[in-house]
Amino acid sequence: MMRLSAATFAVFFVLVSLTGCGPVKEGDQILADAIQASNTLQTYYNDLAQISLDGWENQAVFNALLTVPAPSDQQYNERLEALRTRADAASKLSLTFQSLKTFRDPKGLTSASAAGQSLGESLKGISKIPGASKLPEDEFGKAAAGLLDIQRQQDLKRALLAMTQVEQGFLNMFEAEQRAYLSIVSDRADTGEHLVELLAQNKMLNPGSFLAGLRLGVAVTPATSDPAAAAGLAIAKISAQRQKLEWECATENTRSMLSALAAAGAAIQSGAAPNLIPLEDSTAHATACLTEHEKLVAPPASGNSNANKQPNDK
Amino acid sequence: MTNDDVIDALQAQKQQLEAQLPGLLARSQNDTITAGLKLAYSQAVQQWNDRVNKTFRTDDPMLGKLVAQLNAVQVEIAAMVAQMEDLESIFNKIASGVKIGAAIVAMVK
Repeated sequence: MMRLSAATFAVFFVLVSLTGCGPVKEGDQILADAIQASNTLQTYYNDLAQISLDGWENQAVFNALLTVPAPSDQQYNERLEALRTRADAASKLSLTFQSLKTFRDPKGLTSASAAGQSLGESLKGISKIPGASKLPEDEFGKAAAGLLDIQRQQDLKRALLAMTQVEQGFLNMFEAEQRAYLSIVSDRADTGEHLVELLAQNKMLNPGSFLAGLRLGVAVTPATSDPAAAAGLAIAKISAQRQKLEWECATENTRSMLSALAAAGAAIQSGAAPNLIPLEDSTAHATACLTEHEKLVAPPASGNSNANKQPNDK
Repeated sequence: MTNDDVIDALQAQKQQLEAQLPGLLARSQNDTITAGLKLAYSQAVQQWNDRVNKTFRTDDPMLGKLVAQLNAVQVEIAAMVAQMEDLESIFNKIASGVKIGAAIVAMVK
């Protein structure tokens, strides 16, 4: 009974915040942070899908150069589909939070209902993906049932409670799968490193050109000597380690971000004012690490790279 | 023993074979061993991919023993390659590692 009262109070608190009759700024800040966190989660999964694609490409080229049969398309396609579905669910989570912001305007109910239903449909699909953890099914199942039936103003209470379950579900899924996320990136970096060595052996790449990336404050001219090749391969190895470290940073901060988001939702449910600082800090750190990782794996700008220069090219 | 440990062990096997494969293939003068090395690597790639795609948890103690065995085999292969032992011995050890990997994947399906 006490729990119910607290939850009811919490929902009332949020409703008051969102409808402009109370601490509007705080309500806006909660939703703004939740939107930012959802967008970061979507970026994380989109980047991971791109990395999977790059890893597949590296694997296919490595195998072809050694005349090893090509890796299974089905396994990579299944993984890409799983990651894209998670990115899509994160996108719908963001849209739902954005729509909740419009509740201050009575006309906003329609768009919030539509976004909530869309998120509910998306969550229903997640458990069907090969490789999906079974852990989030309960949370997502309950949340989907709540979100699919937002037809009336009073259903908003149920929607807000469902959002707390969704946040917990995303956290549980992320924690259950995060080792696989790290493994995908780590394998892509290691195979990339082995592929660079193989391409260099086959005179398809000048490893000396990696020296041009040294941060010495002066331009370094790519060389084709044996010492330059050895130094270039050493740099490629360190670059692979950097990629792994940045992704570990992104993964740990994304997990912290989801934990902080779930904690904020739980605080609201219990009637307490949520502490948004951990959510904002971890979101900022996750975004920074994702951006840094993207810089490390991005292909060099056209016309500015010597990475493909042949050893005998003038 | 967790799913995380299994993923790590299978990835370590794949990466170890991958790092050694170009050198081992270059040394091989025997078509059977060449074909066997390529098959072992393909299987290691498939086993790791399969495990990543099936991220569920298990606490089977037998699985822990198998993963420990796999780690031991990887240490032995590294030592054999470093000591330039004969290719057939290395190949046999690689094949035994892939066989353990297959047993792990079969156990947790």
